[in-house]
Parts: sequence; C-alpha cells; structure tokens
Amino acid sequence: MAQINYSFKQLSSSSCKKSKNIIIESFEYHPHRGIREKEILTQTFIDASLGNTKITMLSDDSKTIKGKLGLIALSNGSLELENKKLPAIIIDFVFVDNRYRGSSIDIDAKVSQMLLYYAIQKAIEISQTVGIRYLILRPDGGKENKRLVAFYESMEFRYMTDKHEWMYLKLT
Amino acid sequence: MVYSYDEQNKQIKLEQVPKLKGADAKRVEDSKVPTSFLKSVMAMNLNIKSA
Repeated sequence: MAQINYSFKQLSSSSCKKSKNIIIESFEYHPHRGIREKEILTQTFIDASLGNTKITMLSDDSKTIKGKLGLIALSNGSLELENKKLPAIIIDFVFVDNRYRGSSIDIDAKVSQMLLYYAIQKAIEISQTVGIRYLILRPDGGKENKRLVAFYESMEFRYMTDKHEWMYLKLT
Repeated sequence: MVYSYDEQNKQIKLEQVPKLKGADAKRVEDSKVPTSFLKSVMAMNLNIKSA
C-alpha cells in the first residue's frame, strides 16, 4: 500500500477549459473500456468549462505517485417523488486513473472511496446552508457492474427502483 | 449531467434522473438517514484546496 500525501483540488471552469486536453491525456484508461471512459470524461470537462458541473481532482502532493489519482464531478439537480421535485446533488462522474484502481492510499481507503467521501462531505456541508435532501448517482454499467454496485452499497447508497439503475444516499 | 455509453452507436448519451411514483417514491421518502455513517464521513479530515 502506497503512503501518499493526498489533496483534493477544486478546478475552476476556466482551468477546465484551458487544461482539458492536458489533464485528459495525463490519465491512463482501462484497456477495454478506455474509449467510453475518455469520451465521458471529455464531455464532463466540456460541461465543467460551461459551469454545468464542478470537477474536483484527487492528487498526490508528495509526488510519490506521478500524475493525478482521479476526479469527481458534482452538479445540482433534483429527485422527483410523486411530482414533487426535491433538491439533490448529482455525482455526474467518478473517474479513477487505471493505475490506481483498487489500490489503497493513506488511511487505507481506495481512491474511489476517497472521492465518494469528498462528495458526501461536500453534500452535507451544502445541506447545512442550502436545502439538499439526497446525493444521487448512476453506476456506470448499471446493475451488471456488481463490484461497483457493492461498493456504492457499502457507502450507504441504495437503489431508487427495481430497475437497479440510479442510486441515492439520503442526507436529511 | 450523467452520461452513459451506447455501445451500439458508439456514442455517449445523457441519462435522466427517474421520476419516482408509488412504492418507489414511498420507499425513498421513508428510508432512514444513515446518521452514524454520515457523521463518520464528516469527521474525516480531507485535505481540500481551492482552485
């Protein structure tokens, strides 16, 4: 297990626009799912440069590990229950560099866990000043991606419907 | 803005958050807040820097 000095850095919309290609090319992608990962990541950076989503990067300040570890994109949205829109934060995308998937860092947490902890902490902080009821996400690959679903369930996310697509974490 | 990948057409597509009704809506509305888990996450000292 690598011991690193990690930090989260929130990217401005202008830095997303300016550094999009450099950041996207600095990552290593899954050998089979790389094309889809790169396309979704590119679109996420386009959305972030327009201010539609906010990207936060997880990096290693000690430079033990070269490059960024991963990122998460969050946006504002709603969850509609019986025609009533309830405020929510949407996890638009979670990406972990292929070199660090499943690896543990620092406090024995995986990179994806660290990114989720960040999202949960931010959502709770926002819910203390702005009405937010849920944190929601859609696991990439849906219910077929059992490992990913099990991971989100371990983080207290639950399926919204029997279709087993979108998941939610109730905040208040 | 959540995207998935359409393998047939080889392009990404925008996914919409479902609108819940009936039993699904009630289950989500009635579900409990995982208070102790949320507290443990809030207690973590994450090193967050601004851009």
